[in-house]
Amino acid sequence: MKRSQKIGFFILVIFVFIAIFGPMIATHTPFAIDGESMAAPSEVNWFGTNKLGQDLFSQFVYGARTTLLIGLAVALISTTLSAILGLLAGYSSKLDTLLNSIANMLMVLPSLLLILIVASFSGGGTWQLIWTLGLLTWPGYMRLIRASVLSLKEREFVKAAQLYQGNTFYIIRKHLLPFIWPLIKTKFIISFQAAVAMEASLSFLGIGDPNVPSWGKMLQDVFSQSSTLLTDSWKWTVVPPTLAILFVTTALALLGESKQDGTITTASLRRKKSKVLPPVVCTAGEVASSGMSAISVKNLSVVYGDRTIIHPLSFEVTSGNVTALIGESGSGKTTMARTLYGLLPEETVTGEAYVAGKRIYRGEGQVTLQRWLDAAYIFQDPRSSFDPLLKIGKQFYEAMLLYHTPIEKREAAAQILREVQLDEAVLDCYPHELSGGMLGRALLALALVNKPSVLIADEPTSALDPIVKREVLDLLIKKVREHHMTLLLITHDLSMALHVADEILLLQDGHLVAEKDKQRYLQRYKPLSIRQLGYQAEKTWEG
Amino acid sequence: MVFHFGITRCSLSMSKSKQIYTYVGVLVFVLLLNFWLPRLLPGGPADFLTGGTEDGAIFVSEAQKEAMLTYYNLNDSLWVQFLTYVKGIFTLDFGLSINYKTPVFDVILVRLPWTLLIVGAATVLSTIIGILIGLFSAWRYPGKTDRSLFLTMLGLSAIPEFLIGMILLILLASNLQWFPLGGAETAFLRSDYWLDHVLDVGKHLVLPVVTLTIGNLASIYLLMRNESIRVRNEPFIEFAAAKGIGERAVVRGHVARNAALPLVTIIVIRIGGLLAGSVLVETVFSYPGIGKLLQEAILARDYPLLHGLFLLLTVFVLLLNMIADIIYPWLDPRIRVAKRGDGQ
Amino acid sequence: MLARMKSSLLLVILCLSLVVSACSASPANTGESSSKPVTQSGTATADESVDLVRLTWGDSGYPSPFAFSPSGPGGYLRNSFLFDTLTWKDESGVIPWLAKSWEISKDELTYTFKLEQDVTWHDGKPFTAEDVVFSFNYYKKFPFNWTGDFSHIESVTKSDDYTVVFTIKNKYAAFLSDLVGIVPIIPKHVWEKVDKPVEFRDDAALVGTGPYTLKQYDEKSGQYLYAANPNYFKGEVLVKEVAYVNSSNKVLSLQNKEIDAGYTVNYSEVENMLSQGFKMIQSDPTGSALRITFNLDHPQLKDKRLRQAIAYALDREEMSRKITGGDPIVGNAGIIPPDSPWYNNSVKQYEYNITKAERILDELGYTKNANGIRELLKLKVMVSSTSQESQVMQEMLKKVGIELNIQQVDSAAFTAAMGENKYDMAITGHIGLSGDPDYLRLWFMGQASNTYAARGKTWKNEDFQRLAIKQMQELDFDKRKAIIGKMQDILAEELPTLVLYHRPFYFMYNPDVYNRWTNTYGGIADGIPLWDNKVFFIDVKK
Repeated sequence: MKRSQKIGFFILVIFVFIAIFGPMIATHTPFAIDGESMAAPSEVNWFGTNKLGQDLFSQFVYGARTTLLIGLAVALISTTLSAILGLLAGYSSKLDTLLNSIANMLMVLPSLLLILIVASFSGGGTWQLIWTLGLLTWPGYMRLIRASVLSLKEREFVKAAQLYQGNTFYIIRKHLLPFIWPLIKTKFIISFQAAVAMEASLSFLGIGDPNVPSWGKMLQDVFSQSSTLLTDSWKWTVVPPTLAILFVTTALALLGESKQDGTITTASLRRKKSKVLPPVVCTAGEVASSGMSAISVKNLSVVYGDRTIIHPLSFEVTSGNVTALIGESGSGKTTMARTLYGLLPEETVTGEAYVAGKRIYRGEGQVTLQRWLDAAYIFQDPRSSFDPLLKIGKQFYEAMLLYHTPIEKREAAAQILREVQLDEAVLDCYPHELSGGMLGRALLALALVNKPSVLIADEPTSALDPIVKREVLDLLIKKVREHHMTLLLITHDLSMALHVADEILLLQDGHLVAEKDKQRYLQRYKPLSIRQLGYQAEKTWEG
Repeated sequence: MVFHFGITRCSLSMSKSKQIYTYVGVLVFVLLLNFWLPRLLPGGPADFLTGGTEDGAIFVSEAQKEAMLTYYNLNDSLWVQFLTYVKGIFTLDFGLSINYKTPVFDVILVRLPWTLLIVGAATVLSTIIGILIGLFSAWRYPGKTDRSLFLTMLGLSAIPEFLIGMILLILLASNLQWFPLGGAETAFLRSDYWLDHVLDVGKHLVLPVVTLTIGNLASIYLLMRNESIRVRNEPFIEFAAAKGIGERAVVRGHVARNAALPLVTIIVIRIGGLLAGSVLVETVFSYPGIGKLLQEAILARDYPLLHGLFLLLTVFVLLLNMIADIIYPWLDPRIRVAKRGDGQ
Repeated sequence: MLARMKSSLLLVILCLSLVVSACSASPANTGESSSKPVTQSGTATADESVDLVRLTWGDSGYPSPFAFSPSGPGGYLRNSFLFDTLTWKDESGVIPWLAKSWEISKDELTYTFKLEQDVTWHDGKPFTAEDVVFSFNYYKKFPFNWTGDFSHIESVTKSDDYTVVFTIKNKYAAFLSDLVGIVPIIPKHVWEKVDKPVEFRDDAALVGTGPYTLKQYDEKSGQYLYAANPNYFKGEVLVKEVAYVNSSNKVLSLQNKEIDAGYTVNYSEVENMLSQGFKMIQSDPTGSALRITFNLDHPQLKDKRLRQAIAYALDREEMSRKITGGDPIVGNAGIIPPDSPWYNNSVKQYEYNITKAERILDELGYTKNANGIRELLKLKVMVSSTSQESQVMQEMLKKVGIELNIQQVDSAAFTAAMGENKYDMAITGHIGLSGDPDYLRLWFMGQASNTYAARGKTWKNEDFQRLAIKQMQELDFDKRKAIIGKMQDILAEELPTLVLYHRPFYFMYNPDVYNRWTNTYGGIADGIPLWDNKVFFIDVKK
């Protein structure tokens, strides 16, 4: 539980206590009229009295009972309906049509209108209210649960269970319920909170059971008299029920906070725009430290929480070389590449990394890597690298810092596209209008657009089909050589690495494999890959 | 904090013809409900009128009552009334409101602009502010700013609207007297300058609009923030960041658009709910509008007026749904092209 | 002024009607008292005219005689600013209005009205007897929106352009106040062409003879702006414009000077406003009542001893004090408020007496169980809006072991349940008790289709029925008062209904804006205990 959830839970517990034990210590019954009219809080009437001289503390604590009871009952009814109907609709296609139409109708109709009508119709007793709210509020989550059942039904384990003639109830209980349980939990809390708010609102409109005290009714009582705003009495007549409603609804909202999924492996977006800077005059010390290396890593390690992804390691990549970083899945090679481009949260990284002589982490001013100018980074999947809502051209122009006017940019972009054998018209296309191969080339062109000295490519071809893959890779290598760039190629494809790389780095479980072991390793697999006619046939470490 | 993603996705995945079925089905259902539901309520219009108010009772002679029932055809059999009603739907003529003795159409027309004014202003404001803060919050995610914004909004989203209105009323109108207590404009303001009238309406507008805005802001914020964070984790955002275009450009140019797109549907659909839901705010600020009219019509068993209002609201909601279905593809190039492709 | 005095004399001498009875009821009001309004209007000069007075009320509909909202007195009052009646009421009671004088035949079945001669409609056309005859015939076809029992009328004819003769079927004591004093006269030249008066929205629909014309009607908020009629026949209209503003909180609006006057039933609000320099008048006589209606078909409540026990068990003084905050006026068991001239001061009353209540309940066999609850006696009380009275009742009856459940339904459902006898007890509140006491007949003889009496149902008490008819036909005040006194005795003994308390209305106003507010004796028209009576906006010259 998060801290905010704990706070919510704590507040709720307090109110549950108030509801349970409050009436026991209340010295008056909620409607008894034996007090002074509009008395301020005192030893006798802890929260003061209202116009009729009724003890407000007693109304408050009994009101807590009503409110929580209504919230609980509505949440139970509504959640049960949502879950059962959702399961039924997801499980039986016959019922699905019927249930879905009912849900549709209920959702299109303004719910407050229905509630007003039904409440006037049913006379506004507490249980009528509970049933009204319960019966009208199930459709939203019923459809979420239905959708989730529909997708679960396609999953193997459910199919298997069905195959083995497990009975439906058993399958639902054993296989489906655990998955929709979080939905049910959220629905319950949201219903609870909505019911509390709705009860208060309806009481405020004068629809509610007059025999039962509730917070909404206390407010309605007060606001039906104009004198409330004339005197100070609002301090004790208005404030407690208002705060109570506020606290309970807020506490429930906090408690119902849905889990934000995904661990945080990306750096904060807070990063300044890259700038075209005058060439740095390196001091002797810095030249010594980076030397001729395009990439230089010293004692670099990456730790997510208590999980170490990269153990401290150091290496250099020679300027103008094509270097392959290979390793099995999970060996940390993608993390390594991302680290080198500054895509990891700073706090997860220790040690030093330099790319094109610029510091990646904890750098200041001119010594920081200017992305896309000093170095560029090509992602695994060209399709998911482009923003689906923007034309390719726009995605080019925003990164083209060396050019200024739109015409210059367009010309330069067209030029670089031609280099990768793409037509200028590509600039006016949306990403989904292009094939995977075209996108791969476009991505390459985009990486070349500012002529960076270093290029980091993370499995740039893994999402492409074999023939296209070869074309794109060849093009990549060709362009890198042409422009005298340094390429760090991350791949799990050993044959590919052997085919193109000047140098190979091997990562295993976050450790850089030493030269001796690496050679042995390469020897072991080299014949295999050659026998399989190069890198065209996919030979993976896993395979 | 109710997320309707599942729903929009569902409705999007529905085929066109199925959508039309749904709309027609709902419309027919509502039209039937519209006639029968008010008549299921105990008591009729005559009972309300003869009931008087808390200020005093009236005597209605049998002759008067009889004349009234005849006038509104309430003495006819239910089926005859139903036929008249169905005819009314097609001619858009529901007759005279029983309570106001004015054509239903006029009664609604006089009040509708005022509700549209506050609901419209609140929708625009809450959408803009909600999206901006949501975006800001997602930009600062993870972090303290985001967390505290998120918790504040989460709490805010849970507070009943009338409570917000009441607190504002007590503080700003009653105690500080910065704003009028209620109404849509100063009664019979004497000024020849149009500006004075505009300012006057504006002054009366502030509290109801602020209340409605706060009430909606939080949920739009939450939707926007969560959607933005989801979008933020997409590879193309990281790629955009990798291009070194700076945080502002990433957020503005890529996160905002991609996150706001799915929200369009939800926001448009919500306007329909706001229209009927304005009853609480209109009650708190005695603002003349559809919500209050609706409540009064239910109380008065004003069948013709109820028919008109019910129909208006449903058609409005359905129209908004349709608009959402139409503009979504228009905003999303992927679907836009797919549709074009289908047509060829 | 002479005409005014003459008509007063005529009243005193000729008719033995309500006006006289009213006069004799308050001794200060005979002879010289009729000169009091004269001196008052004599001092009224043009200096007293006021540009604008802002009052507050909710939406009362389009103020034509056929379209105003009959729910609550607002609609009728808005209409009365535009249209005049033959008689009207001021602080002394019934006064001549469009009729400058009248005669009543010996058999008390024929009324001959002499009309004012220099009256014009708002559109400039002259007002004549023809319009009066037309109006009453028109209302027979298209019922008027408010009270006024036309079934008493046999015929309306004109004998010349300014004389109208009414023949009635039976003697009717309230004829002057509750029939011709209520029904507005409408212009023949406008309405003779109208066959759907309810829908009629032409500007001509508001052409009357009244002191005001409607300048603006803000339909969405239900607000009205009236402008004075410069040619009003009764004298100069002092308040040049009257605005009715729809205010959510009268007291606060008054305090913020958004309105100039407003009423409340809550005395603590009055105290607050008095301390701020506002002035107050209290409705006199009170003219309003909050009461329990018992369902006389209920198996337990049909026994009058149970009803009496409930009356003894309720501390109605305390209830009134708690709810209204002012000096309590405990409900008369005989319904008529104690400050009314028709009140019978020897009528049986039910003081607060728990022992007596418990004794009766025990005698009736509703014994208490160990927890002090009379298990056999569980009653329900129906209310049509949130009712503090019902809550207080619930607590008070709990003390004698009766469990009371409150059923809160909306107004229409309430009326329907009353009509279908689906209730045990119902709490209702209403005004009009300061008007002609004929309402006692209307309530209990099924004459009124009204929530607050048993609708369409007659209270089967032969003595009461006989007396009710008798009082209606008795025009002599003392004799009528004796009959009404007996009716109160029967009501008090049988308790078909129990008045909880009489609720005074307090009218608070800003004296700097307008200071001529006065009580209308017996309430405006059929007993509306409010203060926006058009007569007080006019410097009455006749």
